[in-house]
Amino acid sequence: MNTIAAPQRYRLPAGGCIDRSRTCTFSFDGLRYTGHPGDTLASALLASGVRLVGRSFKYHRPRGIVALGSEEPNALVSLGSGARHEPNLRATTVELYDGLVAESQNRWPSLSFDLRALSQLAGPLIGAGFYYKTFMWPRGFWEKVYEPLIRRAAGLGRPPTAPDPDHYDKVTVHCDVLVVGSGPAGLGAALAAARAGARVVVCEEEPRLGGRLLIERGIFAETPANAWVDEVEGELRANSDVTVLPRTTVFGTYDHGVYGAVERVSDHLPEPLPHQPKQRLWRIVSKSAVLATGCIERPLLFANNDRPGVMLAGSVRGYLNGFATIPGKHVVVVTNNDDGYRTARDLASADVEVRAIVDVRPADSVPSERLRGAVNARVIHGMVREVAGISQVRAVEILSDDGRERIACDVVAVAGGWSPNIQLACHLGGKPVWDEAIAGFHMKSAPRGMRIAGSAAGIFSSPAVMRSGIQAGLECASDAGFQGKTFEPPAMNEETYAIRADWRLPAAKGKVFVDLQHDVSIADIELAQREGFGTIEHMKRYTTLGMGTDQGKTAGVNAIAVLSGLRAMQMGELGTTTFRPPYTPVSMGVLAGHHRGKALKATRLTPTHKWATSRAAVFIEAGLWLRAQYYPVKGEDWFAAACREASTVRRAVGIADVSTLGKIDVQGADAAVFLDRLYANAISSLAVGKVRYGLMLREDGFVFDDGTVARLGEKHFLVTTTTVNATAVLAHMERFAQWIWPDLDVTLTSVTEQWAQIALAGPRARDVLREIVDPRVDVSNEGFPFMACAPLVLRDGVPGRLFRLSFSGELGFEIAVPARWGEALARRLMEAGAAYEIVPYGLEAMSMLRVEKGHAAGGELNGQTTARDLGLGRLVSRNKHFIGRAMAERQALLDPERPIMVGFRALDERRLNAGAHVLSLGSAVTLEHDEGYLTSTAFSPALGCWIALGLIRRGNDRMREKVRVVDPIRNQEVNVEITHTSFVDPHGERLRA
Amino acid sequence: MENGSVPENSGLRWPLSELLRPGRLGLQTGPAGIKVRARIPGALAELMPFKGLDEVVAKTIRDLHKLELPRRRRRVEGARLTCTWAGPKRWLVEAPAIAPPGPIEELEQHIAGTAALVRQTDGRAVLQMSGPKVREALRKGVAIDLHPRSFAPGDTALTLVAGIEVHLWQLDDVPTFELLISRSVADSFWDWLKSAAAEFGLECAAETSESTRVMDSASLEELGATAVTSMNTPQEIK
Repeated sequence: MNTIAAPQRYRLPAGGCIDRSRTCTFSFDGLRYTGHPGDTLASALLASGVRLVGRSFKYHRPRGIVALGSEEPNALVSLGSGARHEPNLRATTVELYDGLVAESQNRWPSLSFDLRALSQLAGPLIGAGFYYKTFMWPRGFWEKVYEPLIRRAAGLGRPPTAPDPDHYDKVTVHCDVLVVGSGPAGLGAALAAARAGARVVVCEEEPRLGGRLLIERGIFAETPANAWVDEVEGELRANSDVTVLPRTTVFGTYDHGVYGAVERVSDHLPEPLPHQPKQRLWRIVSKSAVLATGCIERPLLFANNDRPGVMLAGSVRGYLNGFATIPGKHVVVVTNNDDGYRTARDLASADVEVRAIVDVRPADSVPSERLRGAVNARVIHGMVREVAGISQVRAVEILSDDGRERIACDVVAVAGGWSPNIQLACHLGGKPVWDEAIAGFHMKSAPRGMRIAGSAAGIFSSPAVMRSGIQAGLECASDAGFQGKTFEPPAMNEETYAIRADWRLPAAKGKVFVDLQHDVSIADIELAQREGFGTIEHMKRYTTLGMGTDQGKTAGVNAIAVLSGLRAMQMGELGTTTFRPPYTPVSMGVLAGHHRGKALKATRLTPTHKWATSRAAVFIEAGLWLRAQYYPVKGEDWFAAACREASTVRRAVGIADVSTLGKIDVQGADAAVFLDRLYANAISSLAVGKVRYGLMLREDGFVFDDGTVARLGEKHFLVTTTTVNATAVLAHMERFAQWIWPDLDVTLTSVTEQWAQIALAGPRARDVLREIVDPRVDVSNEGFPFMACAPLVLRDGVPGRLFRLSFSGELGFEIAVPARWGEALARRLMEAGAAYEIVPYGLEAMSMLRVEKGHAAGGELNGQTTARDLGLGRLVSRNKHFIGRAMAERQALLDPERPIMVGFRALDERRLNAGAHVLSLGSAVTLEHDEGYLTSTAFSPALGCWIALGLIRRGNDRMREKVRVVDPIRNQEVNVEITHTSFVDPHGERLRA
Repeated sequence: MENGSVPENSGLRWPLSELLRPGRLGLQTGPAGIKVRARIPGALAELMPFKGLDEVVAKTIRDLHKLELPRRRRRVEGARLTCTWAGPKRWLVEAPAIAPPGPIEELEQHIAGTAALVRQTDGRAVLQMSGPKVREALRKGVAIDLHPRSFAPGDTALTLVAGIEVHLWQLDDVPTFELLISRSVADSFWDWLKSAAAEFGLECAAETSESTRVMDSASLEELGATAVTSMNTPQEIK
C-alpha cells in the first residue's frame, strides 16, 4: 500500500452527515485513501476522485458508481481478507471504517488495464442467449472447457475458502405494526402507530433513520431535517414497545404477516465486538405493516450510458447533500421530469458548474419559474445521443431541434423518473399496474395487512408523502385495536414532478445499456424479441436482464419500456417480471444462524454417554443420537475392536446401551385392540408379563418398522421401535388414534427419555444379572423364560424393568432403569461381569451379531420390502384387520419372483459390500442379469468370513447355490454361497438357555 | 442428598447439572442479562385421562389438591401438586420431593382406571431463566410471543427452540421462565443457550434440587417388594 493517501479533492469544505473531526484511512486496490465516519465506501471514493470502480460482467467495460444505495448495479467490491473476505458488496452500502481494505472485482490483470475488455470485440458472439447457442459443440467441451472459461471471465467476486469466523443470530419478534423504511412516510407511520400504543418495529436499511430527509434540501419549510429526525428517533427509542432497527433490510414478505429481515450488526466494523453477531436474521411476525420503502430512480437510455460519470441525478444530489461530495466539476443534467432540476439547483448552490440541463420533455412542459430560476443553467430541450470518453465521461453529444451539439463534462446526472419500490408488496404474488401519470408501476392492492405509503405508493410531494405515512400508521394501529390521533407534521414545501417519459432513442453507434450489472443492452432485448422470447419473463431468462445481484432494480422498468416499444404494446399490458425474495442478497451464514457444523441439528446423548467416553468409545451418529460404535483397547482399529467385542458376547458376555430404541407407553381399555390394528401380527393374545416381536406395515403394505411389544398390564403396553423411526412411529400411532379411530380409548406417550436400557447378552448373562438384582428376584430360565418381562429391583434398591430379549442370538436380557441410574447400571454390570470377561460392545459388534443371527434391520427395512420378502410372512395374521393388510395382498407383492431375504457367505476372505448386486455365475454384468442385492454385510467372527443379508429372486429355492456379487462402484466381484439367514444357532437354543 | 455431594463417578447423572457450573459466561461486564439455573424436579408425570373420563379426573384433582386442571395453555400450582397443560387432554403433573408415597403415588391410586399416569422425572430437565434480557435471549429460539401483553405468569406453551422440543411456562413477573426439555438434548440446548445469551452475559447459579437421590428403605419396600412378589404373576408392571 502506498503510504501517502490521495487527497479528498472532491469534498466540499462544509456540510453532509459526516464526522469531519475524525479521519478513516482505507485502501482500494492497494491504494490509500481517506474519508470520514459517516461515509460509505462509495462516497469516500468519489470524494477522492476515484471514478473507475469495476469492470462489467460480460464485456469488462469500465464502470463507475451509479447510485447511492442498495440499488447500485456497478460498484461491487470485495472486502477484507482471509476467512473474513467477503465478495460482491455494493460500495454504496459499505460503511467506511478505519483500516477498511477493498478490492475491485472482475478485472485482470488490473482495473485500469483489463485484457478481457477485448471480449467486447467478440461482442456479437456473446450476445443474449449465447449460452444456449455458442457452446453447443463438441458436447464434451461444455463441462471441461467452456463452462470453466465462462465462469472465470464472467466473474463476480470469489468466495472465501476458510470457515466463517463470525457467528450469526436469528430472532423472532412480534409486533402490531411493522414499518419498512424510515423516510418521511415511514417516520410518520411509526410515530402515529407508536403514539396509538401499538407495538411497532421500524426497519431502516441505512445506518441512520430519516431516508431522503437526510439527503434532500428544503423538504421542511422551516424545521431543520436532522433535528426533526433526531427528535422522532428519540421518541421512538424511548418507547419500550418500539423496536428501532437501523442497518436492517426487510428482504421478503411471507404468509400471515411474516417478514424476513437482515440486520447488519457488525458490518460497519472491522470485526464484530466480543459476543456480538456479524448479522442477525429477524423473523418479524406482524399484525399489519406499512410499506414506506420509497422509490428508486431510473437511468436514461442513450449510447454509452454506462461510462463512469453517468450517475443517477438523485444520487448525485444525495452525495452532495449527505456526504458533501461532488462527483465531478462540470455536470450535464439529463431529465424527463422536474426532479432533475432539483439536482441542478443543489449543485449550483454548491458552486458546481451545471453546463446544461437536457430536458427530454417538449419545450412547453418546463418546471415552475421558482425551480428553474434557482438553477441558472442553460436548458436544452432534446436528448443525449451518446457519451464520449471510455474510462470516464468526457463529453455528451446532444440532439435537439437546433441540431447536434457536443458539451464537455465529467458527470452526466440522469433523471429518468422514480419507480415506486414495491417488491415487498409483490412477494405473495401481487402484480403491479402501470400508471401513466407517474410513469411507473405501483400496486392497486397490497397483501392482507399491508398498507403502502409515500412514494412507494406513487405519491411524490413531501407533505402528501408524510401525511400518507401518518394515515397508514393510524390505520394499521387501529387494525390491531389501538385508536390513535392524527397529528400535523412540520410545515413542508410542495414539490412538482411532471414526468413525461419517452423511451424513443436517437440513432447512435455505441451500446445502450439497460441492465448495467449483467451487461444487457437494447440490442440484446431486440434479439430476444426477434428470436421469439418476447414476453417479459422469457426476455429476462434469455438475456439474463434483472438476474444480477441487484435484481435489476434500476433496469426493470426501462427494459419493459424497450420491449413494449418493440412489440407495440402498452407498458401495463406487458407487465413486470415476478418479484421474489430476497430484496437484496442475504448471506448463507445469517440464514444458518447458530445451526452450522455440529449445531446443524440437536445431538442426543444416551444416559451412558459420559461413561462410554471414559472408556474411549468411538461414537457414530444414529439419527440424532450419538451411539458407541466400538470400544477400542490397546490401539485396536474398529475392525479388531468389533470382532473382539462380538466374539466375547458369543463366548462370555457383553453389554450395550439400547436406550435409543423408541419406547412408547400405550394405555387404555382399547390398547390391545389398537395395537392389534397397528401391527401385522396378533397382540391382544399376549399375556401380561410377556413380550412379543411386533411387525408394523405402512398403509401401502410395505414394512414400516419393527420392535417389541411388552404387556405390562391388562390395559398397559410398552412398545419399542427402531432408533431411527421412533418419532415417525409415534406420529403414525397418534394419527390413527386421533383421526382414524377416535372412538378407541387409548393414550400414547414416549418414554424413550425416561428409561436407560442396557442389553446384557452372552452365555454368562444370567450369572452377571444375578449379581446385580435383588436376591429375591428369580432370573432362572424357568422363573423368567425367553420373552418374559417383569418389574425389577436392583441390589441397591433402584427400581426398574427387566425384559428377556435377544438381538444378538445369545441368552439376553434388557435391563431398564430410570435414566439417572443408567450410568450406575453400566458400572455395576461391568464390575459384576469382570469375573466373566464382560465387555461393552458397540454398534459394529451389534451389527455383526445381528447379521450372524439374520435379524432384519435398517438395510432390510428400507421401505421397499414386504413381510414376505423378509421371511416374516408367517407372522402376518390372517384373522384380523390391520394397517397395510389390504395393500399387502396386491398381486405384485405376492409375485414369487420378488426378491426374498436370504444369507450370503463369501467363498474367500474378501469383503462384501452392502449395495452390491447379485448375479448368476457366468452371466454378463448387465442390468438384465441382476437378481438382487446385498442389504447388510458384516465380517462374522463366528464363521471367520464375510457374510451378508440380501434380497434375491426365488431365494428360498436356491440354498447352497453359488452366485457372485458384483460391486461396480468399488470395482469388486466376490463369489458367494446362498444360505439361510441364520448363520449362528439356527434353532434358537442359545436364546432359550 | 445434595447433588453437590454426589461424587463425579457415582454414575448418578442429571442432565444439565454437570453443564451449568456456577459462574459467568459471555459478556463479562455489567450486570448479567440472563440468570439461569437447573432445577431438578421432585417427580414429574404425564396425566392422560381415558376416554370420556376428563371430568372424573378433573374432580379427583380438585378433591385432592383444590386445583382446576387448566383447559388450555395454563399452569396451576397447588401446595403439593402443579398441573401444567401439555396438549389436548394431557397434563404434566409435578410434585415436590417427598419419599414415596408422595403426591404422584397418591394420585396414581386415586385415578387408577380413569387416566394413564406415566412417570417422566428422569426423562426431562428443567431450566429456570430470569434476568432483564431473558426475553431478548429467548426470542432467538422461541418463535412464539413472550411479550407481557401476550404471555403472562402461569401461561405455558409447547414449542421448538433450535429444533428442540420445549415445554415452557412463566412463573412470575420478574420475569422467570422455566423450560422443560428432554434429557438427551440437554447438551445441545445448553450450547444454543450459551450462544444466544453470550451478548447479554449469562450467570449460572447452583442448581436447585427437589429430588430424592437415593431410594430410602420406604421407597424400596413400596416399589421393590411388590416387584419381587409379582415376578411371575400377571400384575401391573410400573
